[in-house]
Amino acid sequence: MDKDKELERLVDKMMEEAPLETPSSNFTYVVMQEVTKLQQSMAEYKPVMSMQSILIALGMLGIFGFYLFTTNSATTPAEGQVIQLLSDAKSWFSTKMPQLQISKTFSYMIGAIGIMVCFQAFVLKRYFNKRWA
Amino acid sequence: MKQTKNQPDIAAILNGDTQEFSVLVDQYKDLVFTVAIRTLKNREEAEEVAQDTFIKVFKSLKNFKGDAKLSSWIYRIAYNTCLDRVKKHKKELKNMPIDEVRSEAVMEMGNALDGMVMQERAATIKRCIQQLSPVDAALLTLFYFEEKDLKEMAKALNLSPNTAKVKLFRARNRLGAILKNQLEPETIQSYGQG
Repeated sequence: MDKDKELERLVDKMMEEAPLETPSSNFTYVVMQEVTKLQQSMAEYKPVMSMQSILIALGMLGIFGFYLFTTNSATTPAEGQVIQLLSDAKSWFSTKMPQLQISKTFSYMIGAIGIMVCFQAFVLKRYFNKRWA
Repeated sequence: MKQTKNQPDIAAILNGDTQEFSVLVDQYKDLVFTVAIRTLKNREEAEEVAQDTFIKVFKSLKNFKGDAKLSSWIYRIAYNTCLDRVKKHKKELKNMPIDEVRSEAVMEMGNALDGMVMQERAATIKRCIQQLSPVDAALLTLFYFEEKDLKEMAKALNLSPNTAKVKLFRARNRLGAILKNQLEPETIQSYGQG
């Protein structure tokens, strides 16, 4: 116990006497240059999709949805139409590209990978935010 | 080692005042650089890592919640950046095996250090810290930068206070063993008897 106390005192003395190191004289200048560049790039940031193209895409989706749910709405329910459309798409694939055979396992695998990627992105984002927060 | 200066205005930095950020850099650059050089043992690398640390600080200052001291938060970023660099270059993280230092030997080493002239003493201490593993060096450096506040140091290293205490105890022992190897037997004999 005495030895530990002595050692603590010795290390205290050593660490308190250890001189602080100083970086090169232009250190702050270099950091501030990088910060200025960073600030400019942040100011020049533009989203990948402009608001105009987002609105056009939403409009087209709306028109497509409207078309889908209004045609023959009197004869068949909307849900049935969606299923019909999906099965039509499947037959379209099998007639146009007969060599493209996707097994159920493969489609499940693709789905599982998609979910995992999304989950990992979420976990990593949290990890890095926590690390620097 | 204590640095008592005005705290930089974080709100001003977040509002785009880069001049205020340069105040922060000037205030912490020596401390961050010291952590980096003691961990990485290389001046050029330490300078790069210290610069990276401040860029990361600037980028993530908006995430600083203020529940820890600003200094602890900056040390944490510096420590993580250093460890990333150590891992990137696959540098040795392991500690060297140590022999137990006897109680009398500790006292003799203390007296031997006291007997040295200041420059010689500073050079010996520097050589000893240089021989510590990156993690031990960072741990001891941060403990003394945090004014021996175990909780703040544990926060900076993202450890529980108990783990930090055990690691600190082992690091002290290793530094003691390194000092014993560094000091020539004649030095201990001539100064050590106190």
